[in-house]
Amino acid sequence: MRQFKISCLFLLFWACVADFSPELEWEDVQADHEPELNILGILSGDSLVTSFVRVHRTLRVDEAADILMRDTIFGNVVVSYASRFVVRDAEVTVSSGTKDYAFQFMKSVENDERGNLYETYVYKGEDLNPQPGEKWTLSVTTPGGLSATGETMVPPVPQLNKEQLPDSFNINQTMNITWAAQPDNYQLVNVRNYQSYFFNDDYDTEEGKSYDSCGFWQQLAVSPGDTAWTYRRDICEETVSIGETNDYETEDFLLINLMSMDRNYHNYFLKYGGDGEDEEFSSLFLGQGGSGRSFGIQGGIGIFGSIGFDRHYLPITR
Amino acid sequence: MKKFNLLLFLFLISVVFAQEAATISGFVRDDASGEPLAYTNVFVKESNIGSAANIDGYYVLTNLSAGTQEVVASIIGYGMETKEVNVQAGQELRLDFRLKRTVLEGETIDVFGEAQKMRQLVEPSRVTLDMRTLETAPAFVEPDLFRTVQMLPGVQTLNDFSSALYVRGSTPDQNLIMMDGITIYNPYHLGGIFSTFNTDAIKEADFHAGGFPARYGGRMGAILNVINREGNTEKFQGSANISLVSSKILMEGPTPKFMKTKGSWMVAGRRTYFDQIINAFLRGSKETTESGFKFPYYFYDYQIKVNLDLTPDHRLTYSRFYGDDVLEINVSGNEEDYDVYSDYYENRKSRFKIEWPWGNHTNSLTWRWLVSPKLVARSFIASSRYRFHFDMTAQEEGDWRMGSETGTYRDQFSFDFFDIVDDRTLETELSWHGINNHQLMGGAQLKRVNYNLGMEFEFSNLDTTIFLNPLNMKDQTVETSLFFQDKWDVTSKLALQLGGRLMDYSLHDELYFDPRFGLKYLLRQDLSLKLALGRYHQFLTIANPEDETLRIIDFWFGLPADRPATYADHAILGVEYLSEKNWLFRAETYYKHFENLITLKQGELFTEETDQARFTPFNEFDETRAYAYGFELLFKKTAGRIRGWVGYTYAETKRHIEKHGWYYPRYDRKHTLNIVGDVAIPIIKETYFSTALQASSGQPFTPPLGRYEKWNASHDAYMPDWSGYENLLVGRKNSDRLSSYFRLDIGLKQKKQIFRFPYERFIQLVNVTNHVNPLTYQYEEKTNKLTGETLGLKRAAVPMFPFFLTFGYRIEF
Repeated sequence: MRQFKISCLFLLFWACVADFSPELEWEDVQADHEPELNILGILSGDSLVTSFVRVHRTLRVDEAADILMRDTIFGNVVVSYASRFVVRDAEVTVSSGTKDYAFQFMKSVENDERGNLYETYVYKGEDLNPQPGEKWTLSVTTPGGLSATGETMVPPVPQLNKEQLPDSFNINQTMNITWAAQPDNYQLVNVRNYQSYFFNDDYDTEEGKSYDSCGFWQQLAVSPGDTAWTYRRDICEETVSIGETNDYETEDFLLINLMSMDRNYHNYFLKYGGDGEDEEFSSLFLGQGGSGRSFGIQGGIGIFGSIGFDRHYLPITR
Repeated sequence: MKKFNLLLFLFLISVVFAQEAATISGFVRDDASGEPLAYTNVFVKESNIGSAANIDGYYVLTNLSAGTQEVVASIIGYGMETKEVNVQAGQELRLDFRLKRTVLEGETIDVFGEAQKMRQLVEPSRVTLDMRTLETAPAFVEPDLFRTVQMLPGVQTLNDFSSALYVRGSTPDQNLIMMDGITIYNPYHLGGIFSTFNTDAIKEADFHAGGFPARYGGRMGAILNVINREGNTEKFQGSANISLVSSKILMEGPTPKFMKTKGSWMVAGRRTYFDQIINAFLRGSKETTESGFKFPYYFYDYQIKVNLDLTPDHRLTYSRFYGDDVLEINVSGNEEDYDVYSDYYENRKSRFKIEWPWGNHTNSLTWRWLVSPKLVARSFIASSRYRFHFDMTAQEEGDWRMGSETGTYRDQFSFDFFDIVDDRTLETELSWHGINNHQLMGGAQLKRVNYNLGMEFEFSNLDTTIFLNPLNMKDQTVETSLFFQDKWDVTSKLALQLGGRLMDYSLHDELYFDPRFGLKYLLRQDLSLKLALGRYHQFLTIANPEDETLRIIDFWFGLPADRPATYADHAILGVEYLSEKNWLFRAETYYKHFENLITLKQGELFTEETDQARFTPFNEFDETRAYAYGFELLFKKTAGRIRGWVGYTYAETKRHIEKHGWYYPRYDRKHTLNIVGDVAIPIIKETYFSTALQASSGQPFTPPLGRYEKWNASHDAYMPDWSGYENLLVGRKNSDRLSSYFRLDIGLKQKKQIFRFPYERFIQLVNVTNHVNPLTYQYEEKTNKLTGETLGLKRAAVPMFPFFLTFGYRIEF
């Protein structure tokens, strides 16, 4: 009995004075990952959208995303950061099966209206013209030994039934937009008013109140075989203007854009990305992540897809 | 045709003999308390007529010849009793037994008659736990049923903070947890650290890890049926218990005798007391008194059970369980501001309140009727209500004065999130021993469940109130089941259990049939071979994220009409050996596969319908299927100075979702070893040393591999745009493993007496070696402090329980 009491007292004392909270033991994360190529390749049959291939690579856990660069320009030291993701010395070849097209690395591309073609590979010639139904392939190799290939089937050119559209669009109108069916391909319809790009699009309908034009901006994902959409501008928000009403009127146009895409493009950007995105991984400490999907790419991750466009615009009337 | 005629002849002969043969039936009870003694062996001396008492202590002996018979009742731990009776031809005699407990000095006993169970029960994978077994293992703070079950082979744990049961690849929602037959939907306290069952009130817990018979249905995984004590029919007694977490009290006794009725009652309650102690200290503090702050959390539960024998053949049992976890925060403040320059004065009151109760409320009424000695009818009506209700309010109001102007304001925001599951069940069951060598059972169950999951926001000020109800999911489902089973003693060595369960689910148009097959073959009297096959449908599930590490509440809902019923197929093969000294050895192998499972998509939470945002986190699921297989060894010693068991499991579980392919779920552990022991210390009287060792393979996790850029497309009417954003690159889901798990707990318990009242005191050490068992990994970037350049990633294990000590006292009166 005495031994029991002494043992308990000792244990109580020990438990009270000792610090048993284990200290965190930090260790470096060792990941058995060899970098691989991460490709974004888009073939476009449209004259306004340039075909391009972005060649990036994955980074190991111990690699920084940016490389510190020091340049001397006109005697001044200029510090900048270059992305380590970008592969600048790859050999990129896109092939139709009968002809190969060598893509060149460009830091930036002239006449790039949206400014999204920088540090990318483009074809400088004029004869790149993918046609619907053609199978195109991609080959990427790097001096470091990384390589990847890709394949895409060019979708049919989308066709809006423009003759069935009205001559103009009234802001309170309901309009049927129709197009030619593509039984094997997804499409995407985007509608937006031109003046919204300049934030110059108040639509006053009542004195003292202005309505946001956001209701023009709408998008519809089109399943294979679908051919019609009833479009109507939404009233998104009502705001009360204090002071003078804005009676400024500017000519405006309703832009309708119909885009066709191959299965790779649809899977990467729509089915598993964008609004349909379903993050594969989420962690309190690491945030969100993914295993790196690939559609149309072998030997690496990313996407090699092809798209087509048809466009129309209508004057907007009030 | 000939075989059919032979069977018919034998059947008719048995009916004829049955009319001539006598029957003896009755109840076997503990003489001191009146509690039924299940699995007591009752036999006729110098004959091969015998039977084991069922869970109610009821036995039936049939085919007795007329004349004097010596009937014996025997079970280990009790003195054998023999009664001589004279039966007439065709007589049905009622003969009850009351056995006296015999305890050898320094030895503990297990009253469950392992030998009888091995001979009588056909289904494998079944373990019965009594209160002594629950007390065998050192407890985490206090004895807990689920934590003891977690140490059986085939049962996996998620982590130290969860008492949830993952059984042979099944998740906790696939297990049917019952208390006195009532379904319990959220059987946890303190976010899963404890189960909701007060071990003091438990008589026994019947655990089927798989292959359970047709009388159970509606779940794909395991069955845990907790039977509460009935109460002492002879005298009033009780016990009180205090540990570091809660205080408990139990009282039981006979019901008042009224018009020849007899019965018993039991009341048990438990409550945490930390809040009371801390609040008592806080009352002395001016700041906390003014703000109204109190320790915000407590849990309680209480159970009532009343048994009433209206006549020797009719018994009514009322059972009730109420248990809640409550989180309450209520703070308020009062402030005054004055600005001299602008002559602005404001008097402001603010209040912040959270009320969050969650728990189970159940009630049931059971009527047991001995229609005849061979026919027992049991009817049961029950309600089980699980709810959690998170209610948060933030309010600010005040008045202001500026110069000659005055004003008042009031802003209030409230948020309500609730899930209510209301289960009403009506059930009836018939057991019939009318045919030789057959124990027939059949029954029907009607279960109506209402689900109500909702979320409400309210913003209000003096002028305006905005109310949003973005989540509103209500559903009612009805499950109707018919079951039939026959335990057939084909020969003295071979027994078959054939059965089936026919189910109708109100949201589906088809009927579902679950066949069940069990076989037991006695290779020797102490060695048996068992086989079980069956299909198990389930019509409800939970919408909790699959990868959550800590689970506080469950979101239950019924399968919608457009979802097929989930089901699993079990195949189990096992061998059991029981030595003369009551050492049980069991080896089992199993295979299960699951179809039509659904896993909550852990992504988009908001969807837009017309022009309103709706929060619908439970409407997107991944189609899932799974399989599990394994091999288990159990070595159990049930009597003597040393008791306990050693369990080893080799298991693999995999699930499949299209986006991940086949992967290991978080609860998959390849190897698990559990050693649980309790030994009476010879040199110190009435002192027991207990130990529990758990070692297992590490759990799966998804490893980070590096970084990559995820491509994003912006589709616009004018010109599309493509860009990339940095994203974490991870390996395949759960393709890596945390380090292995190891934990050793030890305990000391001593029994004493104070003022002639027996009491126990115990001290327990959890994780004696202070082994760091990782819950998950915490990550940080390594950066160059001067340039900010990333140098890599480092990680540290977030630990589960460290070493700590608990103690407590228990007194009986």
